[in-house]
Amino acid sequence: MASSSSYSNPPCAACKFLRRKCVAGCMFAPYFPPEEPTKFVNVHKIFGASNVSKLLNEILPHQREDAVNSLAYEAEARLKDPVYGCVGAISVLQRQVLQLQKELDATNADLMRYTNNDYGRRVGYDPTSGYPVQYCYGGDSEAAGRDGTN
Amino acid sequence: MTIKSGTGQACAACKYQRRRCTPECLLAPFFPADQPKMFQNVHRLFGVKNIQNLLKELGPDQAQKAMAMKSIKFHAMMRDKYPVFGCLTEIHQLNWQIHDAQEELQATIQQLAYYRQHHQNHQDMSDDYISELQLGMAPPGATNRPLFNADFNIHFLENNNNNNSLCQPTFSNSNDNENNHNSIVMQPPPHLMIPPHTLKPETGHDFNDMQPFFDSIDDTHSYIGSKDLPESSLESSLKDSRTHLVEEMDENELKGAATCFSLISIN
Repeated sequence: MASSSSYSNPPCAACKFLRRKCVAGCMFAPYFPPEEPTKFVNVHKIFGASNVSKLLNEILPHQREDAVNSLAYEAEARLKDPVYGCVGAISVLQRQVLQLQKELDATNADLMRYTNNDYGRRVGYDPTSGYPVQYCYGGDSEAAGRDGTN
Repeated sequence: MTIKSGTGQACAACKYQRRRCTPECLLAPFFPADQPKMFQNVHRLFGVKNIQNLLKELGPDQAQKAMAMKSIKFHAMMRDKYPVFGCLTEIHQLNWQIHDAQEELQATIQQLAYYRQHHQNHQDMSDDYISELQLGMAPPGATNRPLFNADFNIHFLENNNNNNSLCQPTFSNSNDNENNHNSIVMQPPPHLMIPPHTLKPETGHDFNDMQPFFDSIDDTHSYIGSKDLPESSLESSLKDSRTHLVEEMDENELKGAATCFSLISIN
């Protein structure tokens, strides 16, 4: 008896899970190899095979692999965290961004202080007294005391 | 004709499915009638049955259900906006923002360290200079001009000339690990990484606002010849003095250089 074509084309993970014949033009076959059964199981559990099929039909063929991988990632995240899913990761990253921005603002404020106020004390001579003086950039040039303070 | 729910109107879910909206409708609290698009997105991505299963798995806690539905709606909205990558678009944008912000923070910290070091060095140098002058000062009212430490002045002038290079900071690798950020960046698998140029920054904070400020910091600011210095007569006279001093030094006439400055002791 002639053997089925399953020897040359093993069913994809989707068809294997759904217990159906994996035909030559199976839409899921390129993206759900039989070596990764959990990938399709997760996606099917969260989104459903028919929804995934409709989604893939609406995007260009060269983008489908990325779409399937992103769906698989989101499905896995939702299974791990049924309440927040991958939105939890977004929330954590947004907090991190805010924290970094605060630190950046504080550091830039310190930098501004150095560049505007305290930076650039120079010693010169008072022409009348001949005493050494210190000059500050951005402010009035005033004679400093012996210890250099204004 | 649909039977109205407790709110007086069929929820968006039942309206879409054209069925009765009973008071026991699971989805009615989360999909008001005035937001049909919201339900369409969720229905398209998850399907009604999957949403109901998810809600059942969460148990009776209404707060948890509400939070879950919020995240599901967000998820569906992102998938509608970005059909290929969905929520991963936002995750990647945030990752790149974090990466850029960390780099900028590191550079700013290095620059700050440079300025602090430079300020400290200059403070020490000027203090040393004052103390040197104090040692060589004559009593007030003295007619004799004090001895001028020409060697020190040359050294000072040379240092001033070298300041031009010092004022252009080089961002060497800092070993300062105080501000290393061992931040937890949640990275999707490598095969899901999206190149930054393909991302459309539609949400999140834009760190490009910091760039103009960063560029405005003048790294070439030097003590001598700076345009920011007040152009007083004292400044110009000092510049003239130094210029004259350099000429004298070039001709190896130390005694002539000493006469350029008239020093009076300070008390």
